[in-house]
Amino acid sequence: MTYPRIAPVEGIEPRPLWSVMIPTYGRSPYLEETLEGVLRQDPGPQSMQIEVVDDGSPLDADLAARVHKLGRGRVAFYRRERNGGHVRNFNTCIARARGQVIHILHSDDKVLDGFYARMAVPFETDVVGMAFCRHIFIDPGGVWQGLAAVLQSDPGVLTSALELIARTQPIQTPAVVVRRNTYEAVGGFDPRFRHLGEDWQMWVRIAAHAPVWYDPTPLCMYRTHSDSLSRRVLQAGGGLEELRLAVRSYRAFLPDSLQRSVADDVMRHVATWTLSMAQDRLRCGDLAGALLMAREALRSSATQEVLWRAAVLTLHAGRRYLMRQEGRE
Amino acid sequence: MTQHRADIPAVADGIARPLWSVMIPTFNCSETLRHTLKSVLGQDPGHEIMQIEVVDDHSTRDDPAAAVAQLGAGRVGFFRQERNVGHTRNFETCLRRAHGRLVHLLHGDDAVRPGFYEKMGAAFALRQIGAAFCRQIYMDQDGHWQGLSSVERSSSGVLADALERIASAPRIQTPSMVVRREVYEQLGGFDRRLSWTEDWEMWVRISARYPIWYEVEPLALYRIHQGSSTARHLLDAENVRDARRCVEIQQESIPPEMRDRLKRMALDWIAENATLAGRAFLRDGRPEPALRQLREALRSSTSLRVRLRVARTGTRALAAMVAGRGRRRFADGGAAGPDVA
Repeated sequence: MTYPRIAPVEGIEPRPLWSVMIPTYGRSPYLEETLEGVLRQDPGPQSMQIEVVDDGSPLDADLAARVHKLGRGRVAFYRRERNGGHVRNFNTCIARARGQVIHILHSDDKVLDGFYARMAVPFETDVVGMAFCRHIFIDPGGVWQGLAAVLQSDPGVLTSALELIARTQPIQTPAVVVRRNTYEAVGGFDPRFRHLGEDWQMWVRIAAHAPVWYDPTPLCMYRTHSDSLSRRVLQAGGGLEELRLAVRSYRAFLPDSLQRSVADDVMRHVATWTLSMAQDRLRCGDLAGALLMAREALRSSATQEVLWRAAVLTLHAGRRYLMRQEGRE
Repeated sequence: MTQHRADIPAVADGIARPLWSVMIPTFNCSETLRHTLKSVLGQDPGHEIMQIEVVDDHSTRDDPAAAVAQLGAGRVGFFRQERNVGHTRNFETCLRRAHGRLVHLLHGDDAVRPGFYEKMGAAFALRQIGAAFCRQIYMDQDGHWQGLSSVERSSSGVLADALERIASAPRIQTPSMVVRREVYEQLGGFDRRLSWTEDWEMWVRISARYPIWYEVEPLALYRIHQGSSTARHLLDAENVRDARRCVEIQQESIPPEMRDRLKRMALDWIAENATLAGRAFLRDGRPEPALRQLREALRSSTSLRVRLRVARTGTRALAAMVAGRGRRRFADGGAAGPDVA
């Protein structure tokens, strides 16, 4: 597998430290908040590139003007010619970034004051390839819903980063900043992913390549939507294939000692979680959905526990089916 | 005013009245006090708008005056009690010494996030309210944010059912609360009969009489204390008895038609909380204090839920005690068991 090539930046000196790249698809109701959070800590154009990158949404002449207005003339706007999905749009963001460190900040999400000051610290030396902080989960109305777990008590290079990231995917994209030459070395996001999993695979690829910095301070907000793309896709079963692809494809980046233990564990977790979704389906009376999920679970992991639980679930679904035939339900 | 609550006299004529009084009670917490002071001074609108004062309850282990001199020299007032008076009385001193219109009691363990005073002040400018509270972030000893208080409503505004919410469970930590000084002048200080729940009683007293504003953004930071499981009031379950006393005293402020229902809800909360404390003690391998918590749980509520929990945890605690005695006897007998310390 070769990943999309990221060409080095040429002919621009001096380069800004930061590229804040804001992918969007059409107008986002949150774009104003997103830009406001960045502009409040704007160190000026010499130190920071800021650009909104639209994924070829249907022509909306106002969008460029809106970005110009919200960005107070400070924020550039670029529209891809054709819609390519969010993964390709991420790669366009990276390609267009001119800075030394790239922050992909989706137009739903936002940063808290101090994000760029604190996240610049690890890049003062040459070692670190990427850095991330804790994130705060917010709902569509901006109400705080929860906090990402503390992985390490002090800011610094994260111990066992590769294993930790592969095992738990503790990172949300707005919390991550990556050195551009790290992307140049490992390649862009994997376009085989359509909906989810591309980020997880990428963080594992980077952690296998260079040390990862962690700051336990929550410095950004990640917005969750109950009807988000990834959730819809997962419930329909399609996203599970992509989760499996993430685990299968990052496996090669793990040392031999971790390949079995970590990857198999993760697949078992995916299977258990799928089975719990199958049970939800069964409770709702959606028998076909429940069976689809049970099949997906077995595709993820065929350990004895998963087999047994899937079998029990199938029996229950069968019983419900027969009862329905007899008109008792 | 009853003998149990201090009079808070109005500010004398001729004394300048800033909008804010940030009163910072301390007792042996100089290290965290620096964090507290920085969080306030970072949003200081100037002494004409904000009084800031540390009120120390005669600390013995450290020197809060040094922290004040270092970070807030000339800006932050400092008052030291002649002798240790306990935190409820120290709060009284804070209220009496405050001469601003809005009083914020911010313990020297806790802190505020940027924007606290601006947003909370705006609420008082907008509506006739007696007090306002925001959501709080729970932080650990290292200052790491570990959790959030619950969402009372999805946008900021006056809480429609404030009394019911506040009386049915303690959901406000002191640093989240801002109270008009004249409310304290009307209602008096914190109740001296209470040792651990005097704040809860106060918020109920206020919400029974005045509209309360809720700010949905978590703007206050409340520090959770580790090692508090060794605190005496938890070991002998005095905390549960104190909470029950609090509920009794709260009844005086609650309109008669709501009393029974709110009392039952509060006692259920107290009982469930005691069963959780009991379970935590048991996990720590300390069955005796676990059983004391469970006994107090049953004295607070005999709902089915509480009885089931007490039965489950109580059985395990008793088993652990019996097993523990057996081991000790075995060890006393001279055999070198693996558990001999």
